[in-house]
Amino acid sequence: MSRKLLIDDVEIEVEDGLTLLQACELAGREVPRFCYHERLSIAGNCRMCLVQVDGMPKPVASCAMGVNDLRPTRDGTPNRVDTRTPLVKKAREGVMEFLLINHPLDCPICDQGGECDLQDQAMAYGGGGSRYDENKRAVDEKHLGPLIKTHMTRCIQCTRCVRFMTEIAGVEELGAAGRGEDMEITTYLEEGMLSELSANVVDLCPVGALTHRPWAHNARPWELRKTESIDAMDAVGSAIRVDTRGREVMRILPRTNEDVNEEWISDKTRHVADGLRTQRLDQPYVRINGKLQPASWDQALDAVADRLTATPANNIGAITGDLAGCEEVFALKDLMNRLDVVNLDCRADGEAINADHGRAGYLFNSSIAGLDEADAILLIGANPRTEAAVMNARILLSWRNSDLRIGVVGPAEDLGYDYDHIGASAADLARLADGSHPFAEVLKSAKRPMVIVGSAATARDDGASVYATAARIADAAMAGKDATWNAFNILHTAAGRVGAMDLGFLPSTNADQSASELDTVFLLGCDAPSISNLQAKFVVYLGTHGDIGAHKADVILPGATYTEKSVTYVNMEGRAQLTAKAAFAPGDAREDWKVIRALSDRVDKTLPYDDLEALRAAMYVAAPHLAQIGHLTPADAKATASLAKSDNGQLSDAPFEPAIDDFYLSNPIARASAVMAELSALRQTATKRTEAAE
Amino acid sequence: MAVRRLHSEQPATFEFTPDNLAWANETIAKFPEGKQASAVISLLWRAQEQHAGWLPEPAIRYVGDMLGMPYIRVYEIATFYTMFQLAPVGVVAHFQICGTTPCMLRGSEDLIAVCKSRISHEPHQLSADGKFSWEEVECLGVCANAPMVQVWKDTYEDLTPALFEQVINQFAADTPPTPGSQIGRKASSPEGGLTSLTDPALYSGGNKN
Amino acid sequence: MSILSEIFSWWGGNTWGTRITLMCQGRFVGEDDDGNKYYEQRSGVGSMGMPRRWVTYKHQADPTRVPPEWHGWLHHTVNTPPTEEDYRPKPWQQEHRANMTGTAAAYRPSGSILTSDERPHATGDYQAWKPD
Repeated sequence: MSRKLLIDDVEIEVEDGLTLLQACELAGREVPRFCYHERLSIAGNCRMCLVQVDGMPKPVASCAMGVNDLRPTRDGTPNRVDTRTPLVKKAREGVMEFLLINHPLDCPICDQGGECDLQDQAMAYGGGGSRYDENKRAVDEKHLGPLIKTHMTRCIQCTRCVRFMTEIAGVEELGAAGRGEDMEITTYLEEGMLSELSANVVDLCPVGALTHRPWAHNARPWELRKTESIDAMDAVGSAIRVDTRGREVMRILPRTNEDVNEEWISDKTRHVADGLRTQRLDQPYVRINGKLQPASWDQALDAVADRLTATPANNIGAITGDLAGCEEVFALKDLMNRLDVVNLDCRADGEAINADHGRAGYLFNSSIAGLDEADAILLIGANPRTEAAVMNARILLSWRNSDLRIGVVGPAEDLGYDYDHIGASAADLARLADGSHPFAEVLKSAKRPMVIVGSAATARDDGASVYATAARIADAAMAGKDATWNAFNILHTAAGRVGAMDLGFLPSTNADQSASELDTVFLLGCDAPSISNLQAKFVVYLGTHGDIGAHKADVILPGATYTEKSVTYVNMEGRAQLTAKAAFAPGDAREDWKVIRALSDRVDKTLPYDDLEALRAAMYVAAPHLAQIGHLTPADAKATASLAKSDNGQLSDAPFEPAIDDFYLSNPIARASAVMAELSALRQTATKRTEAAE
Repeated sequence: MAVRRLHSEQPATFEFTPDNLAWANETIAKFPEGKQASAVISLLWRAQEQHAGWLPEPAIRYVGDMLGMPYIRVYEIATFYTMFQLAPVGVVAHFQICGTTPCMLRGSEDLIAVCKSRISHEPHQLSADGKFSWEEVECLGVCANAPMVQVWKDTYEDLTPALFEQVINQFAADTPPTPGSQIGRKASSPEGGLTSLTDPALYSGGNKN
Repeated sequence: MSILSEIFSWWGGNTWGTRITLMCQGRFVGEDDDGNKYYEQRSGVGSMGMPRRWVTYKHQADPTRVPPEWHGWLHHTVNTPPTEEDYRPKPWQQEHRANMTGTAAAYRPSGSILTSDERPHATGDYQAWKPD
C-alpha cells in the first residue's frame, strides 16, 4: 500500500509505515532534527522537526507522525504537508530559542564546533540575540570512561546516546536521570561504559556534550584532510574516513556502508589512531653480532637478498600477517614463486581453514547484510562481540526485531542477546551434526539458517574435524532450501586473511616443511604469538610496528600501515575494498609492495611491475574477483558439500578458547596504542570486580 | 525542583524483610511473564517505606536484581519521581507542604515560613534533632481544605501557622495529631456547622410523623 | 639610589628635582615591602583637583613595581593607604612581581624556543621503535 501526500505543493507517493519526516525527505525537503535518527527508535522529544499539516490545529513533530496517522481529507485529495510556511519557520525558531536557553555559548572552545548540528541549525533558525536574562543551567560532568569526554551543560537531552547504547550496542548502561530541566545523561554511579561500540555515541551527539577524549582539543574539523578508506582492525572491513593534518592521522570516523557496518565502527577501529604514531619502524635494521643495528635500505635489502639466494628454496618460508593487503601478498607470492619457494602460509595461528573446496569454504557466505534475514544462527567457537563487534550489533538488532534463535557452542560469554548454550567443547558439535540436540531441529526448520564458525575454532588439534563437522551441520540445515542462501560462514578475525587465501598464499601440495624447521622465514607483517617460537635461523620482518615479529627478526624492513598505503582488503564476506593513502609512512618506511619489488631486483627475479596499476593489473589476472571493488561475488555453494565429506576425525572435548583474548590488544597497531592499553586495563579491572562480586 | 542525587552516605546493604519479600513476590506475580519490570515502582515504594522513608542506593540495586532490570533503569525511575526520597528524611515526620495555587492562596507560604523557622532553612534538610524534615510539593488533591500538609500517608488540613505549629509540637511530643481537618470540621463540610439542609427531619427517612 | 646618580641621571627614577618637590610639598605616608616610598601633597590640590600622591622607587623606576595595595591608593581608588588599614592579602593572591619582560625571568609560553621545557607534541611527530 502507498498513499499520496502533497508536500510543499509537490505530490508524492509514499509507502505505508513511513513517518512524515521520511516522506518530506523523499520529497527532497530537508527537515531539521536533533533527536530523530534513522537507525534508532523514535523519541520525538526535540520538537525541531515541526511541519504544518492541513487539518491539524498545531504544527506536528514530523518524526513521530506516521503517514498512516493522517486523517483522510473530506474530498479524498492527498493530505497537504507544508515545511516552508512562515508558521513552520516561526515554530522551529521558537523550539530553537528554547533549546538555546540553557545551551552555553562556548562554541569557540567546543570540540564539536564546525561539525555541530545545533550550530548549523542555529544558522537557519536561531535568533540573532537572546531574550533571556536568567542564568543558564549548569550540569556536572559525568565520567563515561576513557573514550568519552562529557560537557553535560551542552546537552540538549535528545537521548540519542541512551537509545544507541540500549538498542544497538545492547548494553543498558546509559540512562537519563532526573526530569525536566534537571535531566542528566549518566551511567549508574558514573561507572565507565564497557562496550565495544561506545564511542559511536559521540558521532550521534548532535551537540558537543559528548566528545572524544583522546582527541580532545587537538584539531578543528575544517583543518583536517578527509580520506575515505577501509578499516583493517577486524575482518568486517568497515568503511572509515581517515582525517589527517599534515602527515599525522588525527582521527578515524565511520562512513556509511549499509552492507557492512551501516554507520557504526568499533572503539578499536576509531581510537587506534594513536597507535599509528607509536612504536613505529622508521628505518631498516640488520642484526649484526646478535644485535639489531640501524642500516640503510641497501644494506638491509642486500642482506635479505644474499640470504635468499644462498638458501635452498625448500628451506625458505613466508608467512603473511593479519594486516597484510592483497597487493603486497600478491607481490610476495609472485617473488616466492619465482624463487621456487613452496612454504607459504597466511594462517599464522594454524587454522585448518583451506581453499581446497573453493572460496565458499572460507568465506562468510550468508553475507553480513544476510544477518538481517537470518532466523537461526549457530555460533561455533566464535564470539562476534570481540571478533567483529559491528557485526554483533547487527545480530543483536536482528534478534531484537525478529524471532531469531541463536545457539552457541563455545564459551558462554555475554553477547548482548539471549542464546541457547549448547555446549563448550567441540564434542557437543557431534550432537548437532547427528540431529540429537534440539537446536538441530531449529536449524532445520529455519528458512535462512546460518552456521558461523570462528576461525580460531579450527586452530586446534581437531580443527579439521571441527571445520568439516560445521560444514556438515550447515549442509544439513541448507537441504531443500533456497539455493541462493549459503548457511556456511567463517568468522575471520584478520583483515588480510581472506585476501591472502583468495590469492592462494597457502602451502602448495608438495610443501613438506613445517614452519619450525625452516631455515629462513620472511614475515610480511606477521605478529602472531606463535612467531615467538619460530626456530628459523634467519627471519626477515617487513612490517610497521616494533612488536613480536620485529623482536624476532634478523632484518627489519619498515613498511606502511593501512592508512599509509592503498591496498585491497577482502573482508570476510569476500568483498574486495580499497583503502586510500591518507598519510605518508614515517621516516624511511616504504609501501610494502615497493619493498618486495626492490628486493626482487636484488635477487635477479625482477617483478614485472613498476607501479601500483601494473601490479593490480597482474593481480586481477590471478584473482579476477578482486577487481570487483565494493561488490560481493557469491561463491559456489558446492564447496560446503565437498568440505562436509572431507574429514571425519574425532572431535575432542576440550572447550573452545576465545579467538581474541583481549579485544583492545589484538594487533600490533592496537598494542602500540596508549588508548587501547587504557581500555584494556579498564576492562580487566571491571572483569575482576564482577568476578569478585559473584 | 533541584537536581536529585543519591545521598552521600549509604547503608552497605539492603534487603526486604520476609513480610515485604513475600509481598514483593506477590506483586511481581501480578504482572504477565516478561513484564515483571512493571512492578518497579511498587517495589521501590515498599523499599522506601521499609527504610525510614527514604530510598538508599543498595535498594535500587536490590530491586533491579529482583526484577532483572539494569540498575540504570531503576535509577532513572528513582530519580524521576519526586515521591522517592533519595536522602534521609525526618524520623518522626517528613512534612510535605502543598504549594499549588489553592493552598498558596490560602496561606501555604506561611506554613513554609513555619517550616523554615522550626525545622530547617532549606527543604530536604533534617532538623537539628533529626526528627523532622520538610519539602514543598505539588497539589495533593485536598484543595477544599487548603492549606494542608501531608505526613507519610495522612493529611492535616485547614492549617494556619499557629495550628501547624501545634501539629509539629504534637509530633515532637510523640502524640501525633488526628489526621484530617485541624479546625474540627468534617471533611469539607462548611466551617461552623451546616448552613443548609439543617432540618433533622430530612434525615429521618422522609416520614414527618 | 646614590646622590650622584640622582643628580646626573634623570632617567633612572628619583631625581634631585623630585627630592626638592617632595621635601617642600610631600608628606611621607608609608613604604612597601620593596622599599618604595609613598608621599602625599601636604596642602592644596594637583591638577586633578585632589592632593597629589607620589612614589619614589628604591631601585630603577618601574610602575609595575608598585604592589596592588599601594596601586589602589596611588591612583586615588582608595583613600586609606594600606599602612593605615589592616591590609592582608587574600590567601589566593600571588606575591606581587614586577613585569619581567626583557629579563631572563620573562614568561615563555610552552612551545617557545626560549623555554627549557620539553617541546610539546607537534603534528607529524611519531615515536620510533628502537631495538633494545
